[in-house]
Amino acid sequence: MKPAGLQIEGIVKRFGSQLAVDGASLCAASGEIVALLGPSGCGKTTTLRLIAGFEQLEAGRIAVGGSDIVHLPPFQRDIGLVFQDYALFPHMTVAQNVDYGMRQRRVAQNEREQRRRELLRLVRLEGLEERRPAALSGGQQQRVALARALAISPKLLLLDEPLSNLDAKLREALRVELRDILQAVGMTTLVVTHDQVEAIGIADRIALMNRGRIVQIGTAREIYEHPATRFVADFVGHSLWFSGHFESDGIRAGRFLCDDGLVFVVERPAATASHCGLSVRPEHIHLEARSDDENRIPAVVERVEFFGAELRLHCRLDANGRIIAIPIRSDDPAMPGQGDRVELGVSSTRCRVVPDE
Amino acid sequence: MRWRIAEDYAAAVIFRLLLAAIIFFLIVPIGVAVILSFDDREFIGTFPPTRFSLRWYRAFMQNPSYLDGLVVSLKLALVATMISIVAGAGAAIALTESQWRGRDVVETLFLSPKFVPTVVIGFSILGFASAIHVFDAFTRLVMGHVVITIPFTVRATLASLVGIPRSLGEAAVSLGATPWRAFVDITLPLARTGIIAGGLMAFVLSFDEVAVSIFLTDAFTQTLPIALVAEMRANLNLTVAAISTVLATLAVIIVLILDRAAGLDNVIGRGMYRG
Amino acid sequence: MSALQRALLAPGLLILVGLVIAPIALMAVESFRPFVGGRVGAAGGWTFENYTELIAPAYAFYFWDTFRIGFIVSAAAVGLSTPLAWQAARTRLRIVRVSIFGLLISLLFLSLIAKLYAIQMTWGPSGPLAFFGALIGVPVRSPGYAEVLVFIGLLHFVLPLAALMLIGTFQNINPRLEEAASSLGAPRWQVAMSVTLPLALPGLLSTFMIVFAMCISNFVVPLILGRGVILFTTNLMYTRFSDVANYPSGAAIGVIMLVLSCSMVYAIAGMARRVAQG
Repeated sequence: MKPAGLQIEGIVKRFGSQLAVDGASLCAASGEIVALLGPSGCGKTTTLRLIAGFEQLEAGRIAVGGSDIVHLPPFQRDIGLVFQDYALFPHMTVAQNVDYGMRQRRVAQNEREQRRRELLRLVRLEGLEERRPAALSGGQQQRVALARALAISPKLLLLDEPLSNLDAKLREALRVELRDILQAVGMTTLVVTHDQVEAIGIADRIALMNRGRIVQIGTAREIYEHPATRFVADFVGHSLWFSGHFESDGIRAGRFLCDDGLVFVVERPAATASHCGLSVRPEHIHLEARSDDENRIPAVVERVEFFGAELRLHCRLDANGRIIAIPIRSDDPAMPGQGDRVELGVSSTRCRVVPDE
Repeated sequence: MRWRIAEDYAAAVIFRLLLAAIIFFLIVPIGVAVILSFDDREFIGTFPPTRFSLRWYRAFMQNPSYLDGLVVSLKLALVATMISIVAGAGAAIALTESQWRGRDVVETLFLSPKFVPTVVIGFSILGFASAIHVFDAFTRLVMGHVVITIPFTVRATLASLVGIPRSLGEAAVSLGATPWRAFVDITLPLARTGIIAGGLMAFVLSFDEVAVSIFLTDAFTQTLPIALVAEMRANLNLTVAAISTVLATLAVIIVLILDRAAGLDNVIGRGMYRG
Repeated sequence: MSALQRALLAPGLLILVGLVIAPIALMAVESFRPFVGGRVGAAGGWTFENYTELIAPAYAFYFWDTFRIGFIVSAAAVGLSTPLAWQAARTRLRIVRVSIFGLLISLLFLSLIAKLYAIQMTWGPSGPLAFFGALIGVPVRSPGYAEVLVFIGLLHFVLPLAALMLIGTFQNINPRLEEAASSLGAPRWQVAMSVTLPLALPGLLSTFMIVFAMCISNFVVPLILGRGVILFTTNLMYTRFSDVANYPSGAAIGVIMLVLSCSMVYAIAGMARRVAQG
């Protein structure tokens, strides 16, 4: 069995009295691309710096390719890093930048040239060898940074917010390209980002991080459809939150009694925590309740917002006066207008009871 | 690549040692002076001293030429600093008020005395003073010391003025304040730290100045540094160690006050990549 | 320009014209006048003699000593202040950074005269570090030792300032660049050689030139520590005037020093402009 590409177990790091990383653990298989996703301040950049060796680990274990690396200084860790601001050496040409790591490893000149050519072809920058970083666009700089990191044939690749410095249009185009390059290279990769679209677009699996801990790991679909906590439900996609408590009705089902009076039929939650709530994604709520929607909620359409391809209907619930926004497609035949009565429906399978953390 | 880790470690150790050596080099003379200032012996003997007393401090305070020199230096520094602040801060404010033709040239002109060797300043003012029949030593000294201190008051005031948004003065004027009132109520208070910093530097600079003073003094009006050099030429003794210790303590106190008032971090700045 | 601005500018402008421009212009004029013993001021006629006599070996030596010592001290100052400045710029501990700042600023505020006599007492014949002379092969009581003392004195004069200037230089080098080099496999000294120092070069050069200008204009260090053996052009200027009251000759030296100083400033400004344009 191949040793795991990256293994982090219970790592802890404090800055003064601040606990930046509080026992985070994750595991990436060899060749897998994992995104470390979370809001700013959650500890993801610190985690990346701990793996790279620029911060001292206080507790826990970090292993790359099966071997422990914590005792190694950064220049011995064989990890490729792409920084958020690319950190290309401004006083060296593109070729010299890409060569730098190979020179440190005393790679022979013709081997160096060959590898450099290969990599620049891979990132589609042939012909730019003699340029200086200042003469390159943001997207080009990012590709040079990638080529430079790959040149040392690292055991692990770390990317710090790779697309955040680019404008929106460029970001989309490069996201696809980046994933293609990473898959072609087949290297274990950890991408740190706060942007869920970036995470979903680039990674095989996503690890969600909040307040120094890794809260859930899974594919984009798994995380979206089965969020483990309120944080996950809120962070990826949109989520409506209802506080209350769960009452079991049998082995597989139960009811959720909301504090504000509503009652939902729900599936039994996987685990119960002391404080739980109900998370429902607005797009799973149907304007006209369908036959298999166990939950029916009468409401009145208060306001319609037009967003081009999509409409948002703000509906006031009869039961408690709460207003929820439900998206529908503009070409949806059932098009209620302002003031219309509707019966909202949602299936019990789409109502998730999750811990409130 | 095991040897590379060892080589990296060795380099780090050498770096630390070098750093310690440099700091030692900078501090050791002051330490020696402080210790020697308490030496009880009458002559300059081998280090370290075995008996201690305050005789050299007494010698300093009882020596009339030192005391006279101290008084002259303090008066001179005060007068020169005052003139320098008024002229320099005024010029700095005039330079930032608005853009006008020749502004950059004038700014360079005000900062230029810094690039003129101090002996040249002293020498040239001596000749000029004689030419316009100014023979009073104290006046000549003030002239020289104002010239060398003006670049500092101008630059320090400029630095703090640059941080004041133009919109503040404009707001005051739109509310009915005359330019003079806007200046007094808004600009002056905000430029205060720059003016004080400039004044402090000017004072210290004037107090320690030798090259300018040596051309402009006469037998009756001597600054403390000049008196010191003259006395030490005649007979070198440890009074200078006592004086050095006093001045060193003063320097440390000033820096502590500076840190308390403004924070040394802010005085130096953190550069573009803070933290 | 408003009346207020005019009023604010007037005193400063008066001082500049009256105490800087006029005196220096007068001095420049005097430098072309022949020396008539014992007079300060107008003597008839024009001459280049005051300049040409400075080419004589006796005087050329002053210039040579000044520049030679100034150059070596400046190089040493930049070299030795680099580790200090880099550490202050890169350390993450506030206490380290503030301590280094505090040390440097205190040294700046400390009277140079006080420092010079302290150096005399430390490295001089009866001082604790007198063995230093034996270490480098220059006997402590020999005339040659004066040069050693002048070196040490000038270093104490310029090191704190050089370090403070270089702190700014290192702060403005992106620390991510050093980390990138490290992640690519370069040990720390290699990072310094291949990334940090090349990028700091413009700052190092301008610091060198500013320090050099300060060294050659210095008066007190050779005066106090030079033992009469080492004298700079500044001291020559003083002795020409004080010993023989040869004002024109002193003026000529002054003009030469002024021209040198200004050319150096011009060169630094030019360099700074070129660096800013990238």
